[in-house]
Amino acid sequence: MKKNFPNIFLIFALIGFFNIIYAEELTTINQSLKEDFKTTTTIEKKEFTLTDDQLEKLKNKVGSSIYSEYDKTIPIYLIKKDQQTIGYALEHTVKGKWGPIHYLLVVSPQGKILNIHILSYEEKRGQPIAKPRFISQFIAKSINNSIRLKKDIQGITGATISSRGITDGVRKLLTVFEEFRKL
Amino acid sequence: MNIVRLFFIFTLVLFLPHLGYSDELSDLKAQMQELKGSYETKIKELESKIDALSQAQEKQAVKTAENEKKIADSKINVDYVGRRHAPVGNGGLVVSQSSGFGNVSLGGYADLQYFDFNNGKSAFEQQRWVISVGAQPMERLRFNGEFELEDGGPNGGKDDGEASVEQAYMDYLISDLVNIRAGALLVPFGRYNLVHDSDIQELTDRPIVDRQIIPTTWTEAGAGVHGKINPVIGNYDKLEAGYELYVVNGLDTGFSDTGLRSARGSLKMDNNQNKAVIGRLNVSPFLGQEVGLSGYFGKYDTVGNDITGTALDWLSNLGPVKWSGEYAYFGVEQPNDGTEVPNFLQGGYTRLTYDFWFKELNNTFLGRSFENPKFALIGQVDWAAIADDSDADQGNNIEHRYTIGLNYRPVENFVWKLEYQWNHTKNETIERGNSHGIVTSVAMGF
Repeated sequence: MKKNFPNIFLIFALIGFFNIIYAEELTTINQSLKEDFKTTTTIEKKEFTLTDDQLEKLKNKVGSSIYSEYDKTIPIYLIKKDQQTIGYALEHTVKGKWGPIHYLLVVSPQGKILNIHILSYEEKRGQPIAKPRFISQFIAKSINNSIRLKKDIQGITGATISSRGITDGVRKLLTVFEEFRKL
Repeated sequence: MNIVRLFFIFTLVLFLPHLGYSDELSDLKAQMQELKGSYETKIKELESKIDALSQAQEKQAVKTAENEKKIADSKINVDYVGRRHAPVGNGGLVVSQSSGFGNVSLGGYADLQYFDFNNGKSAFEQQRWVISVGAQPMERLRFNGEFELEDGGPNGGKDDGEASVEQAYMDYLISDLVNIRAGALLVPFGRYNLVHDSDIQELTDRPIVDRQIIPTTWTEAGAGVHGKINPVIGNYDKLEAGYELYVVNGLDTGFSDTGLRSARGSLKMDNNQNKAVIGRLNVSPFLGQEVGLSGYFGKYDTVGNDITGTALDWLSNLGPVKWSGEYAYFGVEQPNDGTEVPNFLQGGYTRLTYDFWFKELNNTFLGRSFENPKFALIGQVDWAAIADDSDADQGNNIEHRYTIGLNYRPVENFVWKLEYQWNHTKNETIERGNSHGIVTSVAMGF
């Protein structure tokens, strides 16, 4: 026990030294959009409610098995500079391994994905979905690209539900955005 | 004329009160004043009653909201989320509180195997039934356990089975970087031992290296730390690294020149009071790619002789192709009393898997009602070499195996496997000896 004491002390000292309590920042929508659009912009919020026809189209396009109550009304943020819309952000919620994942999909006026921000922290441990190594797979994709888990998007080991939630959610939002652009 | 009329009316109005009606008007005025006063008082009373009622209503609303929250928080949800998809543990059934804590998961896996070799060995084997239980009573406290019944358990059939704890550990979570774990631990030496489950693995038989060099399922009683980080190097932010580092009872003298399986430590006591240290560092440069490096150091006997191990493992996902493998080497210090033990044990395997599916099968029984069914074609080469301990005095024992297999997975955790093996042995048999034959199995996790 005596000769093991320095080792035990070292272990606890190391634990204390590396004890970084995970700071759970809440990324707000404004912070996220400021991060993406660094120039001075105004943000206008609209609520886009899909009609029954549009919902049917969405279900047919992405598969009815992944439709959820969160799909009917999508908050859409128009990012404007000098009266011109330079980007859009769609707010959405999907099912994750540890609870609902509330996220923001940022797209260009042409519908290309610029970024994805995970807003809320129901993802309790490590937020693997929020990590750049997962999110970066979606960047520059659009409705013209196939976005399927395990085919086009690599999932996160141990977080398949969350990976699938975000992948299916992004696919749905790109279809919603196409309908929104037609207005 | 009009002016006269106006003058007359004016005079009337001016002098009428003085013609005898002034008292009645005064009375009327007084009555009206009295009524006004009375109504004002009543209105004030009503206003204060309304205020009191509003306040009471607000308090009631707050109480109702609190009660509703209590009910919601105490509401228990039961949901089947799928094997290995629960927030804690490996089981697919989750019992959870609305608050998100107090989760318990339940599940497991089972398999049935059939093998038929040219050396006359042919049998059905219900080899494994594993029960998984996980619990998370608080956000930072977790339990994960697996109990295995092999070949019917110790009292099943011909009493040739066994029952054992595969893992039963508690986590005290501190941060992503450092967490404490204690219990019966799956030893992090190589990757296979950590993901050995029948429903996950592509082939029925475990690689020779993961049977006799890394004695899967290798469980040790001990404690240590684990964690992961995402270091950013310059602009590169996709890197992830994880580690596990434990102190355990360790391997004992139960090994021979045919493998390490019998040297697995006891979950009850240590043969030599000297603890072993074991750890694995895994690095993933980006999603789908992983390399692991493992180390083991400990004394195996009561006179201080060492056994030291090193392992390298890898996993690479490239679209439908997966390349995985591992290599392990143990060096064994020779006792001075003349006892001969193998001075090294080493082995490795490499496996290629190709996933595919034919859309034409979607409406057949193979594909109908399944979301993502798939086939997999597998090719594997494995080998092991163990130094002779002079029992047979024939030289080192070496075994090779070549396997080709085909799998069908209607869903992720149900698999039917079919494979053909060719085994070649030099000197003593390590696993299958010189033999070839069919091995098939079905495995299901839930």
